[in-house]
Amino acid sequence: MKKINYKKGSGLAEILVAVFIFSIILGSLITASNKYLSGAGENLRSTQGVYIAQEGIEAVKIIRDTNWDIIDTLSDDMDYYLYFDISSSTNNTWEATSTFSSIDSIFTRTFKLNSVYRDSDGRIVSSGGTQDLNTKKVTVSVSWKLKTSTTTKSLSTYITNIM
Amino acid sequence: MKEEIKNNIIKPPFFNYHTRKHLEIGVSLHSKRGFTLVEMLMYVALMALIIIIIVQSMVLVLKSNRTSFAKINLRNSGYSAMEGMLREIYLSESIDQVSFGILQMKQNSGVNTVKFATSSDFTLNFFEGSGIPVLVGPLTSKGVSVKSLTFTQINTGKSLVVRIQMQLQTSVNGITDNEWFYGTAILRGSY
Repeated sequence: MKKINYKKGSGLAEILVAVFIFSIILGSLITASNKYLSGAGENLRSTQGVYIAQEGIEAVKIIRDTNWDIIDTLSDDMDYYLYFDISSSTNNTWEATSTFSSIDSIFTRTFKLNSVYRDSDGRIVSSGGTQDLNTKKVTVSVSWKLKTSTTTKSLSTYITNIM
Repeated sequence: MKEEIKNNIIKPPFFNYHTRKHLEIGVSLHSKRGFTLVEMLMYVALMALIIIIIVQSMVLVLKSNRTSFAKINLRNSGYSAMEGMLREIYLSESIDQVSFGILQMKQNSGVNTVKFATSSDFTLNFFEGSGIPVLVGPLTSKGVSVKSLTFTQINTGKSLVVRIQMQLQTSVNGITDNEWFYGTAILRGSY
């Protein structure tokens, strides 16, 4: 009778175990492919983001090349956006603005300027020294959202007034 | 002797036990009710559910695989195209021609000419040479097409600049994806 009972009850138990194992295998498979997909997406976004950040640095240099006075009028340590002006009567060019703009509704690019201080030997120092009015530190930040997390990449360089 | 063997074969204790057991199972199987309709329906429903889940997840995995491949293709071609173009722009001194899909510049005191152009099969080709530039090779891989490529010239008064807007498209087994790449570079030799 014991053996008969075992045989009778095995159907549901076996199915439960099988379903459990199946769900673990499928769960891990889906998780792995999801990771793979988000990894590929993140890789693509960071590649695009790097060029957008580089473009930001070049755009600030373009503003510098056009007229250093524009750089002078921008406040220190404040976030500015960049937009490409095609309606300009003179030429197509990059311009700084404080109004929010995004790139394809995916990337947000801002840049900020900081004053530069030099010691008596002309070396850039982080504290003390005298301010060099013809040099600014530029920091471009690009951020983008992937699912729920936001990634931010920053590039920075120094620009000087070319007379 | 013969009877002993016969007795041994016919009447070992396990033989009797086995027969008894076999008989018992046979009886119990005959007495079993079998599956009811409700039980059958439940089993079939459960089976169907499991099969649906398996098939759905397999489809999902395969689709995300193709999407990943598409993204990797776009990333790789975008990277090589942007690197190739930005590098040559940095090294250039003047712009010969700038329009939709074509950029031609001078390098090395005007001796060397570099050119980027999209071909009829939507690949981005790089040309270089003194005098008329000759084809060096493609910058985008097979399976990736340049959907849109715009070069815009900027003149700051002190330097020349080229802005790139490039849209790449790829198809992997029915999954079509396209992405934009943007870049701006000052011709370092134009200062």
